Amino acid sequence: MKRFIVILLVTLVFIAGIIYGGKLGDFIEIETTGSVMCLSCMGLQQ
Amino acid sequence: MKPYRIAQIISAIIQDSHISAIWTGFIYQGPLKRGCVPILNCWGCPVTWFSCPIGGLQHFLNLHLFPFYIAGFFGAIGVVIGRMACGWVCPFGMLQDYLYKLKTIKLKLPYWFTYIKYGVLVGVAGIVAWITLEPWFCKMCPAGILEAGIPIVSADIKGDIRALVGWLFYLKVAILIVVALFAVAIKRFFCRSFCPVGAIYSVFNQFSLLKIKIDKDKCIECESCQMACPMHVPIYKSPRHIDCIRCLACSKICPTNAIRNEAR
Repeated sequence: MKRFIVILLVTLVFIAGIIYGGKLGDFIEIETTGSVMCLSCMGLQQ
Repeated sequence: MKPYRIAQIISAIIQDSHISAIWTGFIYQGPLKRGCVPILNCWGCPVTWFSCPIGGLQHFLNLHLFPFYIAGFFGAIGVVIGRMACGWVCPFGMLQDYLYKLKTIKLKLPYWFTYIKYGVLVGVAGIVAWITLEPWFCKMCPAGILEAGIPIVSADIKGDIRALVGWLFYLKVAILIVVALFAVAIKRFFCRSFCPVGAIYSVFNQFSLLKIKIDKDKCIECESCQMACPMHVPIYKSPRHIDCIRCLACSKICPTNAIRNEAR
């Protein structure tokens, strides 16, 4: 039970990280970057 | 069909079903790209709806920003299910599973190879991305050339994109061929040796909520679980092994039902 609570708390910390990242604009940044043709991914940008 | 195989196929369809890209030639641009998939899935792939977390990680490091979203994303998944996503939702892992089914000479992976993925994560996707301001793992990624590079260059009728093909493209194709050839002979060669996503989740395997439990009284150490394991993990010796992808192929094959999956 103690381990379960620790894992739950750690999970909440990580979820807080996601939310904080979202507030900083991480979601928009990822959407913007992921919406353009990634030349590096395709091996077209030397 | 094994449950994890069905899940792999369903997840591949869900992730990569933006089929209008085939006739429009445009990758998906919209709010779903804010979401990352929990595995290596190239965001340059024309038919994908979602973003790649390793691409995202490198992007923030290129900007010299701490990747709160990506770190939280990996951590929240890893702490709950460990490396399970590698087994149940990764299309590149599924491809390697099928390649290994080909009847050829089979080889064992030297154990030290499994530590290379940490070097790839910290070195290539971390430090090199930070210093050079370029996503160098993406430039080397065999999933990227398979899912994005080859389809887009092949479908380029006008030749605008084809004109950009250079040494890096051919290097990526060579990497893909080498990975595919080794995957024929060695179980999940790329996942065990080089995948940075697997490297992150493997750390959580030690203490994740979901875990494999071995009943030592029932186990006869017949090694049938290791033979059935797509990652060739000696699960009867090490149920929290860094490379266990929680696919549960071992529990299905165990003759004494000594293996089970449980949450703490």
